[in-house]
Amino acid sequence: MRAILAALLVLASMAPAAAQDAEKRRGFSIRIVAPTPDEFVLGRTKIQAEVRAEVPSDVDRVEFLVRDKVIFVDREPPYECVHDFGEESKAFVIRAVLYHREGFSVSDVVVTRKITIEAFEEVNRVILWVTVSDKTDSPVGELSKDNFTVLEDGVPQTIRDFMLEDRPITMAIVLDSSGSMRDAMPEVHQAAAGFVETLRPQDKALVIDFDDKVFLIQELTSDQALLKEAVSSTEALGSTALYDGLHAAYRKLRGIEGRKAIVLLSDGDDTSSQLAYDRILEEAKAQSVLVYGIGLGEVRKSVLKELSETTGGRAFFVAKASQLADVYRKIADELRRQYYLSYSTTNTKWDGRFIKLEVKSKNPEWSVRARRGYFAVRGGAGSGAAPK
Amino acid sequence: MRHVAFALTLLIAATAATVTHAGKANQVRKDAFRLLNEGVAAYNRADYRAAIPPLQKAAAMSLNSFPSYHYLGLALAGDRRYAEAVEAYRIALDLDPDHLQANVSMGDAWLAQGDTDEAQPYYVKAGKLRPEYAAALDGLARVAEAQAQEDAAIALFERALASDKGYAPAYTHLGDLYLRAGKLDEAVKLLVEAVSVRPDFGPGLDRLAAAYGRLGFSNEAVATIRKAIELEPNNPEHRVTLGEVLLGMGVLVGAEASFQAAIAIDAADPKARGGLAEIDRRRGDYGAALAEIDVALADPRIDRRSRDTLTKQRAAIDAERGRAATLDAAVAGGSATPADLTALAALEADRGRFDRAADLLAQAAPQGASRERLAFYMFRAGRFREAHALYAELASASPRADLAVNDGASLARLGDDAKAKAAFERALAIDPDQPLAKLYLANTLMRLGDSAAAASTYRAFLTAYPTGAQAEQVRRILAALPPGTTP
Repeated sequence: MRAILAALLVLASMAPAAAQDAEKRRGFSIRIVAPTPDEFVLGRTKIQAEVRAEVPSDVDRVEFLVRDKVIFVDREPPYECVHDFGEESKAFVIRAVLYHREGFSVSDVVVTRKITIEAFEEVNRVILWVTVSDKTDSPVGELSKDNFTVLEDGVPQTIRDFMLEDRPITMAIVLDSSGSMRDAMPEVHQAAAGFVETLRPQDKALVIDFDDKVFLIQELTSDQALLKEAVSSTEALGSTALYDGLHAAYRKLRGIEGRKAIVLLSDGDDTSSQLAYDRILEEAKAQSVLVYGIGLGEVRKSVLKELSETTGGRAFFVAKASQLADVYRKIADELRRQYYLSYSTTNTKWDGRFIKLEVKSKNPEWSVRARRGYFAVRGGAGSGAAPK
Repeated sequence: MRHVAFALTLLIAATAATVTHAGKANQVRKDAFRLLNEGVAAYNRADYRAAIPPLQKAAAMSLNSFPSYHYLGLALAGDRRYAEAVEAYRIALDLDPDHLQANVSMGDAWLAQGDTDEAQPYYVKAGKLRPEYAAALDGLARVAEAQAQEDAAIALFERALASDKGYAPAYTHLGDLYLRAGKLDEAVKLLVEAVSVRPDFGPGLDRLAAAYGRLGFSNEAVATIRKAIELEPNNPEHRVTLGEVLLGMGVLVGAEASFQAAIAIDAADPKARGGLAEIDRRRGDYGAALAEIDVALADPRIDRRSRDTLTKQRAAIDAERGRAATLDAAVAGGSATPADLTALAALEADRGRFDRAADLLAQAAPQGASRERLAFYMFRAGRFREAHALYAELASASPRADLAVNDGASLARLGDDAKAKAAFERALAIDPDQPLAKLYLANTLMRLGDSAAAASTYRAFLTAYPTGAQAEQVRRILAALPPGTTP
């Protein structure tokens, strides 16, 4: 019976307003302001509605519904409630119905989006790849877990495993081939080919190039000849779909175990992506993939910087294409001197919130980079194979 | 001129793309374009299986191409690979979250897997993007129907039709809902409307054929489904429907051929395998019946609803196998009790083997209601003389209208319309509202050449029973009568 009522409510709320009600409905409206359409929701999340009523006392109540079930009835402003959307990302229909004291109602609906959060090997175990550099920006080697503290939302954690990571890495080499890259192309080809040469036989990479379209030029392989052929074949044309290119790289790396990285080169801001920046940042938070962003020439630094730092990677900015070879070398060097760190989290609330992570060095002269956090999803605390 | 300039621009752009890119990157771009075209062409001729590989390759190369992922999803859904279709649609919707059709397609893929919770948000979103969008309302209606909220479903279907009077899927889905609910008149009306607004709409023709089959209009059913097959030769559903129509007519060989034709298109089609299992069951080959179902159940693409249906069908066949073996052994060993004989007779009748059912029940020396059943088995076995003798005996012992009707029907099948007429008139004397007596009397009067009296009786029948399969048949007979046929 309840389900039938709910369905009828769906029906009513999607129906156009009857003409005789139009006058009364004028100036009487509701809009869900949080969550926003296509946002993803996890755990306890606030639902907020903005109510407009020319005569405030005309408002009888606001009903909040999730998946056609009434979850809260609010009779006074602010019109909001908190709902637990669980720890598994799903698409939800969230509805807010504003009832006039004379009985009629108006409503708004928001549909949230499902996201994929990296699948994880071991429950409640957080895995991080940590880069440590000294004052001269050189990687620091031969460290032990005693050199570090790990904080989760400010709470210290006990490190379980710590070692220099020498297992294979899987990489996406993402190259901007928009029209503005034309002059730089020969040096890009050379620098990227040089980077490919630094891969060890057990490492794998794929190559994506993007202008306004995004193409997979080379599927995942260890074959350096194929990779070099791919990175050397890109040609400049069209506009820049940077975010689409990054999203494609994330998709291609999804489901692969172990350490993963995206090495992205671009010379400009996004001009033609179908996906928005927020969507890419969300991906960066949800997946355990290190992002190394290389900005060539006049680029908006904040985007590459935020994306890289969120993931524990790094952003580089160079003025000339001739400097690219050096940057690629630095990235290769850093990837070879990264540490694998794991700890059993003290977190017991798996409610989908984003838990902030901080890895600190006990030596103030060292700078430490690692992922900035993870979504508190059961079994979602870290990614990668545990050491044998 | 403006068009020419635009065309020239396109030409130049295309040429530039070809000239500028060289080597591997260029080859990938060319291949992705070619594969997408190949896949879309195959999809458009409903050859989903052929469409999938090129679309998979195109999507794997062209990573932000909405059409590649959307068409891939559509082709996968066409091949019942709904879980994979969902993944393709997910990427398509990442690239274009506000694409109306992609949202509806995603809803459809979830709904086909029986997951109404996942399906609903996509229809709601499509409805929000375009209020009163018929496809979104139609999707929500199917969600409501899947949640057993029939009234809400009907209201939503009607809203979809009010929004777009030419939207054939809503007529079809609502018609199908009525068909499942046994409201055959309403179903036919809507399904006829579906194929009127879109004469080439295969699913509409398919369901209309099913409705005709249920009404007993075998010729219409077969003709309609053949048209659907002609329009969509690669769609196994139409072959299944033809199989079901033929099975309903008791034409096992034809039904079997049609189910096999469906299996040639989709080796694990759950309805085709279920149909073949039913044929095997009727033939008493339970092992083969179970094997057919197991093939469908082993298919990873199987949807939840089909799995439930086939699992129940399998359990029923398995139970029947055990029961039949025990009863057969008792009969063969001469130890069968009258109850065993009656039970085995019922089982044989259920398989459509009425001759053996009659023989078995006769051996049980039935009394009372069981004698009526024996007469029925005899009638269904085509042993009309024996059936008449038994019905006449039962009717004289107990003057009931239904017994007189059955006696009349037996006499009619023996070709003795005069005596049949008398039997039906006797039935009406006992119960003037007996529907079959009226209908059969009218049929007999037609055969006796008294069209005017027949027309009058048919009209009386229609007045008393204006709905249902028989009413529909009567309307057709009356429509075929010469205009001046009046009492």
